[in-house]
Amino acid sequence: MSARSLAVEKLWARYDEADVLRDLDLVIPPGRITVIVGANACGKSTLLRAMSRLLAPQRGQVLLDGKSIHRTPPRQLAQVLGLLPQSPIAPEGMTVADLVSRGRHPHQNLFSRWTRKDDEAVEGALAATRITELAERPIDELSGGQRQRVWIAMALAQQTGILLLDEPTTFLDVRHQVEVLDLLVDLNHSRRTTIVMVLHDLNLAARYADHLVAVADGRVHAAGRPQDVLTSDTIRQVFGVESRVITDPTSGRPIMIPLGRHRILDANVDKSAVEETCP
Amino acid sequence: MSVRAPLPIRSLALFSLLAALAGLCALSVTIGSRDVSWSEIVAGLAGHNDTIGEAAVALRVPRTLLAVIAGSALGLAGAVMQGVTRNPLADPGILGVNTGAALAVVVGVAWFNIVSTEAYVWSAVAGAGCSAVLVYALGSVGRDGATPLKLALAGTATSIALASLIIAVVLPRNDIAGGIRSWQIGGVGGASYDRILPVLPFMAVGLAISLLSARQLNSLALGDDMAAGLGERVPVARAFAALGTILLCGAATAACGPIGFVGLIVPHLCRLLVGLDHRWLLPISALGGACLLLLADILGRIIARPAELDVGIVTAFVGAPFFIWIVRQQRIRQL
Repeated sequence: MSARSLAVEKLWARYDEADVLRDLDLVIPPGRITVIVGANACGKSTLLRAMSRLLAPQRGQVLLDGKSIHRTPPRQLAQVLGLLPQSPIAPEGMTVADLVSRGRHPHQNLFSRWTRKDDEAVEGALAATRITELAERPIDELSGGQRQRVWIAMALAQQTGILLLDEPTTFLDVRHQVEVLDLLVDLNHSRRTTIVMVLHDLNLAARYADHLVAVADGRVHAAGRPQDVLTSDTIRQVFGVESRVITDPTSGRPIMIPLGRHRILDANVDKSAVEETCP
Repeated sequence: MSVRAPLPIRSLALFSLLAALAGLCALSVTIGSRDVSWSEIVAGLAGHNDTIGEAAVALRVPRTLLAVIAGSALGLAGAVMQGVTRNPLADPGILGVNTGAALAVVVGVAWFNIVSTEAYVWSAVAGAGCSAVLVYALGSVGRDGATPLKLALAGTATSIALASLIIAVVLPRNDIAGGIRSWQIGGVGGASYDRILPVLPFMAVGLAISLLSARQLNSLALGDDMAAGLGERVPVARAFAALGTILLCGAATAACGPIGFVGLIVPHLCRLLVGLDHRWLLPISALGGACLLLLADILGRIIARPAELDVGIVTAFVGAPFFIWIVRQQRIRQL
């Protein structure tokens, strides 16, 4: 699957009659993992919705291989751009295999029959997410982590070069969060899928992103390697919180520690730094 | 490994329902408030009506046909509505579509002196369309859009309001009250080919549109965002499917009055049989609806012998407990 280019140009978008995105520019590196972070209501989910055609922009455009996605027929777009929304609905009693098969929807039309290729796509997606043995189970019986893997499998069966995910780790415990993110890295490596996701947890974001994007006030505040983006200055400007950033000995990626007002051991903190930043 | 749902069970369900429908059609022609002999049945079916028995049989044929057509329309419309709104309580009656169709017919009869079945059908379809739009608009007010609960509430409220309007229109008009009342309860009893034929084109178009929307309904079932992600134009898909149900409900209501609960019960039972794939669920629901309405009509003829119970009353007797059962099963969550 060839890597495709996705870019956002001078995008203005509204949500609930307020301009949420204001003149936002962003280039998604093909074949890499991009993670979007930002404070609540900064527009990161709106950005993802605009990029996946769920939301029509007021001005500006989202370009896929140089062509506006809002001028691409939806079915054609769905063959190259996949989306896992925040709260998809699993119909009661539906089996895993049945749900994952629905990912083939954009590749079929009214008269086409289910083919060997569709079967292979579904089997491949089940295997890649390691849920083959759950195939015949109803989704309502699965745990939250398993269920999220089913949705990812469905997005994989869609076989798109780009996959957008809106907070795929919400409501999962830490083990399942790591499991889901590891799985996405696997897919990025094995299929060269371009992954763009919104994450809440800054440390997981810095750990798993190749390209970290911090959104504030409807614009991209900083974008680049996690080491360059996750600094205490950026964190203060984007989230309005003081923090210390250290290097994670396991991954070599930055980790942020919020300072707050309590439970700080004086000996461990460079007090002058705190005073300097909190006048 | 097969990732596809069990085909044999679905085919079995299809053929059993077809067999059941054939059996019920045979029963419907032979059973009635009057006992007729086999020779009279054969003669009546062949088009003779020399004896009273033969004439009775000849009358039962269009009646059976109407029950099959209206039943399949209502079963199918119910399944599509439940899919479009992701609402297990959706039903042409509960969402106020049938009442809207009925009000339009009543207004036409009372104020514009419409008499032909064609005029009935056009007014019914227009009424069904208006009330569907009204209910959907009322149900979508607010930030989270048309949730199942809000739609059911808006539909029920609209249904009650429109029903009282019907009474307000009919009450001062003694000349039409009797005819309207018997039509309103819902019946296939007085069926004739003159009443069936004008309805057929609407039914055919409604049937085609509804069956064609199966794929879209499959993706809408996963939520609007996911459906859009799968390449569906969500508002277009929803409007297209709704158009199909409006045609079906309008035509069915014009032909036999508002019949409730068929559209609610049938899709639920059919889902147990063939699962959630609308490409199977929709045709099976149409068959199931035909079987249920035919069965209700036959029961109505047997229970109250020598008189007859209108089919709308029978379906209400079966449907009301079923409705309560669904609610008690706490299946009000989204489909």
